[in-house]
Parts: sequence; structure tokens; C-alpha cells
Amino acid sequence: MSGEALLRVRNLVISFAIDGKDCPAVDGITFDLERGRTLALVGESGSGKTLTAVSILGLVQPPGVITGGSIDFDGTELVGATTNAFCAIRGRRVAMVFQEPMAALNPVMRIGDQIAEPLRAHLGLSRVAARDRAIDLLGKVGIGAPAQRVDNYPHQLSGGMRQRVMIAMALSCDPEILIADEPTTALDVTVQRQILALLRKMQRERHMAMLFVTHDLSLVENIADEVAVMYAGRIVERASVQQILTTPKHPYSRALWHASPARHRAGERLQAVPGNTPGLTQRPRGCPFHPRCPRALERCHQDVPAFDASVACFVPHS
Amino acid sequence: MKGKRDTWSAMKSRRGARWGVAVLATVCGVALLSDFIASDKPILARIDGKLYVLPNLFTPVGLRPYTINTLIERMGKTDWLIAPLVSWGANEQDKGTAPLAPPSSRHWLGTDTARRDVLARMVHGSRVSLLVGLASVSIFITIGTLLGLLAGFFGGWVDVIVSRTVETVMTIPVFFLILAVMGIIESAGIGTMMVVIGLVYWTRVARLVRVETLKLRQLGFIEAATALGYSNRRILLVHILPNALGPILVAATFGVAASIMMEASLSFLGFGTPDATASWGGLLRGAMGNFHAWWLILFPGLAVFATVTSCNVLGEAMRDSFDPHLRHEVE
Repeated sequence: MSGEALLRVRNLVISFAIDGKDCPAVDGITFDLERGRTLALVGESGSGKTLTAVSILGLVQPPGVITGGSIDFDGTELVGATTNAFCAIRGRRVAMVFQEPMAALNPVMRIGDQIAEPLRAHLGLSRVAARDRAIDLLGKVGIGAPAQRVDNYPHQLSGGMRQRVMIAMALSCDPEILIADEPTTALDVTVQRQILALLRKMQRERHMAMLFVTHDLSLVENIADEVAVMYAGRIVERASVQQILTTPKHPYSRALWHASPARHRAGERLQAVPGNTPGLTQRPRGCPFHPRCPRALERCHQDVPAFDASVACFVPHS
Repeated sequence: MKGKRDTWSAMKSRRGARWGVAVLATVCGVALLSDFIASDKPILARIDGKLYVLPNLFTPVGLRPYTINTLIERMGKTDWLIAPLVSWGANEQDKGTAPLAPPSSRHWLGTDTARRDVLARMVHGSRVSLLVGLASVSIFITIGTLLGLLAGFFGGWVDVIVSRTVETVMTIPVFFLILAVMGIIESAGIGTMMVVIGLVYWTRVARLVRVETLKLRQLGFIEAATALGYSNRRILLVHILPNALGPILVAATFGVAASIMMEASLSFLGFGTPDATASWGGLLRGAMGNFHAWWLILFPGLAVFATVTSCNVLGEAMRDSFDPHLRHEVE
């Protein structure tokens, strides 16, 4: 199954300077992304998953800075790359779908023009050719009557349709990697499934690599091949989707799974993960999860567990 | 997000805005057609068996020595002419009338110190007012928008330079600066006036656009545009500028009013249009020292007042309708 790694992220560290101290929001992340495969980054708010995703496009906003590690995209080093180098990649080879489809569309521009814009800017298509492609893409992402819809403004579309338009924009130049940052969070549950199915279908048809960022473990089953669970800026467990869903090894993965409503039967109580993700300045010594961990040992308070094969834990579930 | 139609209907529902549009449309019409409303040459004429088409625009050699009044005196039986509504040229001196003659059937709004018809001069003066208004506004909207976009988008030292320049220029009393420049430049005419007003009035627009850009830059679709690999130029011109157009349009409307006012003030003080160029401010200047000539004060004054007020009312209506919070109060 495994293809060549298109994206290799090694020991990536992204820090914010707070009161003169460097606080790593992403703390030594390593993963590979292969063509035709989907990796899901799962974690709570503040785990650094979105930051990791946007760093691939060079969109880490100051005061955030990449302070270490490397991001290798098809032989090109992206850490420290110039804006021009990123502009050659953004939208063409790596595209992104954002969380808020309302905010991510230009309110005063027809959706057809917005989908056609990357084609005209990057591929130099003529106005007419780009419009035809835009209509074609609208149809592909499942919008009915695309020839009419192409002249709509974003406010004339429903949330789900807007997200489809975003996907069409992202796919317009046939990117090799699609980054989807919580693409279904702002949508109705019924629409969520349709968008997930669409993303999955597009990813398979085009043999793209996809990085799917979500806080909801129950979504990954339908979309991902592999899952990386993030906590406090680190990957604490990485495994195939079946493994994560049947036998999660890290106590945090297990807690997340128990907190997910999808696997629960009616009448059963949901188990929330006690406590909160520690803030950037309050990361504890040792394993960052130990204050919330039911299995924590004395050792967990002192030492940081290394990432070993698939999990970073001294006392993993078997 | 509200559509454009809401903005327009909210605007049109204000009675003041309608009046503003009506007055401005009239002034524009008069300015465009001033040669057909007031001229010393006929619109169409047959003189000595020769047909003249639109001599009021082209001034053919054969009619050059004549005005409508002298033509009528020497017309034969087969000759005829169609005169404009006001059969006086803006610079035509009527030898048969006293200087500063009050309104009469010959000169509906009286004459000025050089025996020229006040109405004819007002009709042609509307051109100067509108031209100065629109040209100055085009200049300062362009400068202000460009600098505001750059300062808001790039921030850093670009922002520092633009913002400090804006603050510096804003401390200078605009009127006296323009007055001084117009006084120093010997051959100063309408062109100089437009450029000088344009070069001084851009600061407010720059501030406005800068803030608007700062606001827009934070929004998701600008981040999305960056993620799609668009150039800064494309992001600024295609994505930020169209979204900032509302406030710019409002500023432009107020700007037209301010520029017209400035032109009238300068011409009144004798630093604006040369005497040969008819302008509202210039007419008012003729009343200086001749306060009994109330027609020289009242009519040009009313023209300036109506035009400036209309621009301001329109600008206010536009500002209110672009702001959804205010829109409800209006309705």
C-alpha cells in the first residue's frame, strides 16, 4: 500500500515568544504523508494540529515562528523557504480547505470567479476557459445546476454548498496535497457526512495526499488511512485508523474515544476527559498528559516519554 | 452579508438622498450642455443662404465676428436661427447694458462688473465647479487608496512612513497651504488648483483605507487567498479593494463637496480661476465692494450651497446605508 513519501515532517518545532520565553506550541512533530493516502491529525483545541497544518503552506502568523526541524516537500525544504518559493506551491501543489466556509469566501465576488481565479492566476487560463472549468468543478463537487450557480454570490449559498465551493477552489489546480482544517466543524451533522464523502471521493479519484485536521475522532473512520493523535504540541500516538478505533494504546487516545458520542449506545454516559489542555506557558514537566492521565506513574511526572514505534507513553494500553 | 440591493434601497428611501441626486444630476446636465443652454452663437442658423450647424460648439469662421444679438440685427428675410435658452456668451460684454445691472428681461440674473450676463456665467461656471470637484477627488482618492492599502496590508515600516506622513500633512492648515501655493505659482489656473487640492486632501482617505485594510486583512478569505498562492498585488486589488469600496465611495462624495467649496473660496479670494474663466466663486468675487449687487451674491451663492449640500446629503445617506446598524434607524 505504501507509496513514496511526498511530505516528510521531521522534529518540527513552532514557538511563540511569551514574556521573553520561547513557548513551543508544536514540539517536535514527525510524520510522513504519502501520495494517495490520508493522514488525520486529531487533538483538542490548543494541541497544535492547525498550526502544524498551516506551517506546510508557510502560513504560521507572527508571533509564531518555526524554530526547529524540517518540512520536506517532494525534495524541497520548506522551513525557512522564501515567500516566492511558497507562492509556487500554494494553491498549485498544496491547497487548503478552511474551517469557516462563510469567512473563507470573498463576499463581493461571484463564486464562479473565485473558483476560476486560481486557474487564471496559476495556469494562465483565459476567462472563458476558466469559467468552463469552474462550472465543471462545481458539478464535480456536487452542486446542482452549476451553470446557474456559477454566478451566485457566497451569501446566496448554504453552508454546505459554500464548503463545496471551497473544495472546488482548492482542487482547481489539481494539487498533490490537500490540507483540510476541520472542514466540517461549522456544518450541520447531515451535511458533514456528505462533505466527508466528497473529500474522500476527490482524494481517491485524484490520488492526492490529504492531511485531515479534526478534533473529532469519530470522523476519521470514514476518511483517514492513518491517524496521528496530538496532545500539547506532540504526537502521542500514530497508528492505522482500525488500530486507533479498536485498540488505542495511549491513555489520551482512549480518553478521546470514550468522549466521542458516536460510539455510545443510547442511555450510556459520555465520559469527558477531565481537566483541560495545558496552556502554552503552563506545560507540565514530564509527560504533558500526566495531570489528566488515569494511569500516570511517578516516572510520568519527571520524564518525557519518547515516541516509540507508534506511541509515546511509559504505560501504554496493550 | 447584505447584498448591494439592500444598500441601494435603503439609500433611495431617504428623501434627502433623492433630492441630492436630483440636484447633482441637474448640475451635471447643465455642465455637460452648457454650450446649448447659454452661448453667444446660435445652435442652428441659416445666414446669407448658408446653413451653420452647431456654431455654438464649433464657431465657424463666417460667424466669428457676430453674436446672436448682432446676427439678429443684420438678418435678411430668408435667414433664421435657433438660439440657446440664454443668448449670451459667458464672456460676452453687452455694450447696451450698464455694468452691475439688476435682473431684467434682457439679463435674467443681471450683469457683473464687466457687463457680462450672470446666468450665462453661472451656467458655464458649473463646469469649473464639477471639473475641479471630480478631478481633485480622483487624484486624492487614488493617492489615499494606494497609500492606505499599502500601509494597512504590509504594516511595519511602510505603515510607519505612511502614517507619519499623514499626520504631518494633517497638521498643516489645508486652506492656507493651497492659498499659498496658488499665490506663488504665477500661471496658476484650474489645472493647478485641481492638482493642489488633490495632493493635499488625500490624508483622510489614506487613514480610512488603512483601517479598512487592517480589518479586512484579518478575515478568512484573505488567509484563504494567501493559501491559494495569490500575489500580494492580486490580493490587494482583487480581494481587499472591492471590499473597501463602500467607505471610499462615501469619502469621494464628501470630497467632491469639499473640493467645490475650496474652488469657490479660492476664486472668491482671487487665487482661483482667472477672470476669463467663468466660475461661481469668481462671480461672488464680483460682489466684493458692490454689496448692492445682491444678484451677484444670491444666485452663485445658492448654486454653491445647493451643490455642496447635495453632495453632503448623498454622502451621508451612502454612509448610513453601508452601515447595517444605522440602516434600521433609517427604515
